[in-house]
Amino acid sequence: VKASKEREVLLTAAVLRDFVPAQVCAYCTADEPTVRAVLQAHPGLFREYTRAGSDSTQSGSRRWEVISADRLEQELVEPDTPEGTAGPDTAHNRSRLSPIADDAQERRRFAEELLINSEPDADPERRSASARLATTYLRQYLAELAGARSRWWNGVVETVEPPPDVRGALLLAELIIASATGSPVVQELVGSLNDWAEENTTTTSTDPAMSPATGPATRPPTGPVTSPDHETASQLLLTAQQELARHLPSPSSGAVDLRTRVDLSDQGNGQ
Amino acid sequence: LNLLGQHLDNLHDLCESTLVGRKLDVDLRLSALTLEDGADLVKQWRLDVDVAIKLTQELEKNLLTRPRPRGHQITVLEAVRRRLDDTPTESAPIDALFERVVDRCRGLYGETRWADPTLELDEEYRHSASWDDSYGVSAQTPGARSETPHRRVQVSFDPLHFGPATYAALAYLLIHECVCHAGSGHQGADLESPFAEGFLDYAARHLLPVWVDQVAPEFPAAALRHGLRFADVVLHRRGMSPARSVGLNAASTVENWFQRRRGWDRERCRRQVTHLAVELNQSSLELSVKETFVSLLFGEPSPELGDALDEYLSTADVVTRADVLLRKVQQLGGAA
Repeated sequence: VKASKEREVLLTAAVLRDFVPAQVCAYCTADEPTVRAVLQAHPGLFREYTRAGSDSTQSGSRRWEVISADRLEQELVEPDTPEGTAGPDTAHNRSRLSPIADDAQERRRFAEELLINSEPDADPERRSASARLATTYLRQYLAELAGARSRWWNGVVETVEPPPDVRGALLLAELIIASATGSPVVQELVGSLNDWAEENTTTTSTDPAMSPATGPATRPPTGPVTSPDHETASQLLLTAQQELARHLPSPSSGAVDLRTRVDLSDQGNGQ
Repeated sequence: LNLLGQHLDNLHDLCESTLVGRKLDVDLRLSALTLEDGADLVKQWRLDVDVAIKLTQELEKNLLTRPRPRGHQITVLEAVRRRLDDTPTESAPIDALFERVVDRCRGLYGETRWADPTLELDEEYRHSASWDDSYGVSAQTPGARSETPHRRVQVSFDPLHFGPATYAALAYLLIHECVCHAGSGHQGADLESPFAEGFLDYAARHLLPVWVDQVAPEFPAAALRHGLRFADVVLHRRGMSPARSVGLNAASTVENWFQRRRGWDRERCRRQVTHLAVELNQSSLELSVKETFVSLLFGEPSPELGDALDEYLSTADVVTRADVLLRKVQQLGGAA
């Protein structure tokens, strides 16, 4: 067995830890007899066994496992290994790997691009996927801007909720995205927004220009939010921007300005 | 260049259908000349001058009858495939390519967790004028595993851009579809998903050079060159979702993190990320959790995510470790 093939097999075995020889073959250029030969040549590193147990899809199959991970790692240490030619061409990716100066801005940009690129005549699945993704990234963007990242997004989510004011803004933003992209989660979000409005009415409705969930005076001051059409969604966008301007620390550092990029009043869902 | 200039001059004087036919003929020859092992590819394809001319005539005939009625069976592609077959029992080269990719994926995902997908071809792909590529092919693998016992890999060609370079790029395209989509354990469509289209595409790109000798033994150099070129073309197509580049960046982030944290060489890190992608893809947990994992890799992994990745690496139980990682991610990311 050539040294290069042997190393390939050992490297793959170290990655897989527990495997059948065909799996090793899938990750390298060695064929199955070569894989077996290499494994059998290192009895102190691997052992063959028959899997038993509750996993019915795997039970009964003859497998191999690494029995001395440390020794295998030592075997694999090669000083100053040059860049392999067999790997993916990641030159482009590596060039983009410089530390992102502002994670939050990157997230927002990605969410915006998702919305902008979501074609109005795309099939529902595709639009729904775009909406879901944009929501995820916009939530993280907003949470990070609001300083909630360490506690909410990156922390223990079960015990710490996002700050209430941020949550309202998030819900609005999500609703806009869902409405603009025709996502089926609109109704669900409307329900959540109404719940939020109900919970926060006593604390925030003292501001006559900013009734929760319905926004400034241009919107009906009371009553539940209904499933929005495009016109309403456009209005909600304004509301969200005002909410964000009110609650987020520095609008100039990246308040959501989707309106310039996504014209919700357009018949074609504004993309 | 003189010949090409004359060709372009001639194009102006031809009617549309003839123009298309001539263009295909010339494209086929020019494309073949640009391949390092073009002669072998043409031989394999049996696209000698006679076949190219006959193909052109057939294409013209098809185009002259436009618009084709619905249910039109004799497509250009089928004509191509028929011409390439020596006998009716011999499978066409595209099918053979696909079968070899499926065979490799069976090893990658494991016999018990993999269901062979089927291949469907059509010529419905329409090349966008704003895209600066000349491959004219796209693919998708719709549907969830639970919906059908076998997933369908649908490859759509644009006959006007269908040449040897397209064929050479198919090895990567089919690897992407099978590795990224056909082997997934989650339910539902994974269109526009940074995980499926990007993070897993890292694995497809890694596996292309590893598999190319087995998958495309007749033209490995061309398959590698055009596969990687096509992958980058798709990545940079205007108007495309950024999902692919976001997922690829996330995979590279993990690769770099492995290198710093564990001191592994680049090749080891790439294999580890590739296997991580495959194991996560096999998990039956929701796609949204997998996407959350990618979203948490926008920048440097947080200490909590680093701990979760460390735990994954130190766990030998291949049945549960991906699920354990994803559940941790679910907590970290507050996945919906």
